[in-house]
Amino acid sequence: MAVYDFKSVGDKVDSRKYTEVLDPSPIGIKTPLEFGTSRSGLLEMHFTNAGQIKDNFRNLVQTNFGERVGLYSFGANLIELVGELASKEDFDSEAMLRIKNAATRWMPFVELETFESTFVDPADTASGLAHIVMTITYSVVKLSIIKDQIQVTVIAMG
Amino acid sequence: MADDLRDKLKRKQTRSYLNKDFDGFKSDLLLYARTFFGDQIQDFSEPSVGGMFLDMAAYVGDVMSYYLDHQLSELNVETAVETKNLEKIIRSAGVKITGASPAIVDLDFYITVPADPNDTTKPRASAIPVIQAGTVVSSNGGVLFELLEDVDFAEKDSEGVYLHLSKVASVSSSDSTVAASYILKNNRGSGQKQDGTAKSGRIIEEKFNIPNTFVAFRTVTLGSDNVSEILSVSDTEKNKYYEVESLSQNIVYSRVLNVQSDSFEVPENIELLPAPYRFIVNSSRQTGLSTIRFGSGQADSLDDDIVPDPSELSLPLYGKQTFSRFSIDPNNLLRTSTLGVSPQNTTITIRYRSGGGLSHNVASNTIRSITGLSVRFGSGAESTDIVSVRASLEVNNPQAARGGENPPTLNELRSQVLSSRFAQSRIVSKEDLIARIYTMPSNFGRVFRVGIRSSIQNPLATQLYIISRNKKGQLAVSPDSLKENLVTFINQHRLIADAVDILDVQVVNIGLDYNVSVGTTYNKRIVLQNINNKLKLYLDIKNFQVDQPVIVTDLMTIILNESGVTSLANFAMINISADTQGRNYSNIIYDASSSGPNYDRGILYGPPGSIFECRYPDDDIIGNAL
Repeated sequence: MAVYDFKSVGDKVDSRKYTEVLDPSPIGIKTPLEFGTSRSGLLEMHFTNAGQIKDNFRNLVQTNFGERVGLYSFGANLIELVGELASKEDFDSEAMLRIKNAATRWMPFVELETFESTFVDPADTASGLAHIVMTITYSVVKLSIIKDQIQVTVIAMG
Repeated sequence: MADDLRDKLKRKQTRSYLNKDFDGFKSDLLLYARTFFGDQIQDFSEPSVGGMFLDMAAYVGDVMSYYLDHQLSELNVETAVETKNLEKIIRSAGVKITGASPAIVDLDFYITVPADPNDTTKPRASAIPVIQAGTVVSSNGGVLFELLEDVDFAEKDSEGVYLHLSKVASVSSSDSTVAASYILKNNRGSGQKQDGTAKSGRIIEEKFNIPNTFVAFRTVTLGSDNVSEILSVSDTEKNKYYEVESLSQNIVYSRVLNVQSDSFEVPENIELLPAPYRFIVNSSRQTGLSTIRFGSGQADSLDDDIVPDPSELSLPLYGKQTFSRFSIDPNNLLRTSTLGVSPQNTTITIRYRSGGGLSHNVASNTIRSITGLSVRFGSGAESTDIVSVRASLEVNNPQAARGGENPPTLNELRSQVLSSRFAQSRIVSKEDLIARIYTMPSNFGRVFRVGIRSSIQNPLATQLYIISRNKKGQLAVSPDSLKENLVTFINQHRLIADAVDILDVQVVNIGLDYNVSVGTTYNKRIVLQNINNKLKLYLDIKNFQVDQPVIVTDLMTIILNESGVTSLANFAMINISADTQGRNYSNIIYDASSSGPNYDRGILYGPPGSIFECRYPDDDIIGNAL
């Protein structure tokens, strides 16, 4: 008769210990605004920190000075760069600086990783205006968000 | 220095009625949202949409709070900043907003009048003119002044003596013993009301066509700014409109020439005129323009009732035992004449004076030209005299014009509000009555002193003692016309249950008789002269009021304090009541002796409603040096 050691019993994978419990509480409002479905209320909501942070960070980068009521200096203020700087290198360095400053001030927990921008020719856009597409990689270590990305498009003037 | 600054900053508190600003609202909203909506949203950080909504709500609250503070601040004259609101507050406090004020100046007019051929000691009466009010003179700088009242060179006093004759200078003819003509100057002598007063500004006449539509409280705005005075308002039907303080004031005072024997002391009488046609004037500080506002009544339904008959408003019940609720249009009641008549289908003619400012305070001797002469001669005047007298007319201002002021600043108007709130048009207290009497225009007679006592017979009555002065500055019984004017004047401000008995002040004429010992090294005559001069000053009538006692010990002290006086051997107050040596005294007999009943511990009391007067101090103060 064989003797078994209980050390080798283990657990079943469907045991409660390994079941992820989804937090039913919404964290914040999702943008662009849309009507809520299923668990959300009036508006569609984020239910994960990662989603909420990504949304907030994108909004921060897209916002220019003076656009936010009550907080004049909120945002990365990138819009003025598209009309001021002639070379892409100049744009990239200044945009990175502004994004870093904005993130440091308003979302200090975000660690910026990489920045990449692409110039889209006016002929290739529906509006007939040049686009600059920026891709920013970031991490939030405390929340185990590693190398997440946002993509922000600004329309070049003139 | 640094401590002072810190103290100042500490003391300076921001006015906030809600005590909420952006941060305050935001933190409260955040607390509220986390408490009641924590299960629906958690992220209110600045970059989130939730944070943005909080910021927006806080921003709206902050802005509303700011405007709420602002609105509340605008209710207080001390903190209001908007000119429009300040004007309303100032006006509602009873302060009249005016533009630039005109200057006032006393003018000297000189005319050369030929001598009377029958009596060369006098100018020819028929050639003496009246320079009429409205005559316009001009300063070197071009500022216009208008004569306010007639200057009558032929004016005589109650004894038939030319008032202006005292300043007559004779111009001799070739025969040096006979005066060929006289130079007359308007001057009534010191102590009397002078004529020749002129006011700066332009007189403007404007006409307004009023259409045939009824508009309650119709307003018209005058074309010129800095209107200092509305001279007349009349319509095509010759109705005169009177300026009132408020449209509910339905009576105005009118000046009427006094033709009675006391006309010298009281040149004019007051009469009350009902004023159904009336208006008020409002000036805007922003535009400087003045607006005239008429009443709300319709002239064609004008009734003579100052107060409408309430029975006319009651509803008739013809054969009914019951009646339902009914509605009334208040506008129908508004069309009565109780707030004055609104003009309709007519042309309003308005004459007014415009202009003013500090620049109108022209220097002395700068008004030398006459730009619009209006002169009147008697019926017997010869044309050659008229021409020569008109040509001889010269004008001058010996003193600088004064009173011209720029429009009051908002801060100046603010400061007037507080004092205006305490002003009232009713006579309630003793001080109200005294102030009202003293402010009666002097054309209606001048009261020198007023005394008020309670009536013994009637607890609701007040006994008002008044006294005037004659030409020599001595006390004289107030003329009857003055009392009648006083009755008319104060009656409008009297409370309905109050009664005022106007009585003459009893004048107690007093004198002094004293003996002093004078040191041997002093000149007795000079010592006595010094004492008498000081006693005269003390007993000057200007220092005495009705029912004011004489402090006899003060008089003794004056004598004893004079250097050279070693002792006061004898001192007696005497009452003088009998006319002696052409000196006229009051007939009040009174015991002024120190052993009498009116003397108590160094103080001499007069009878009720009396005033002490040392009428002829040169004769009534008798001093002897031993």
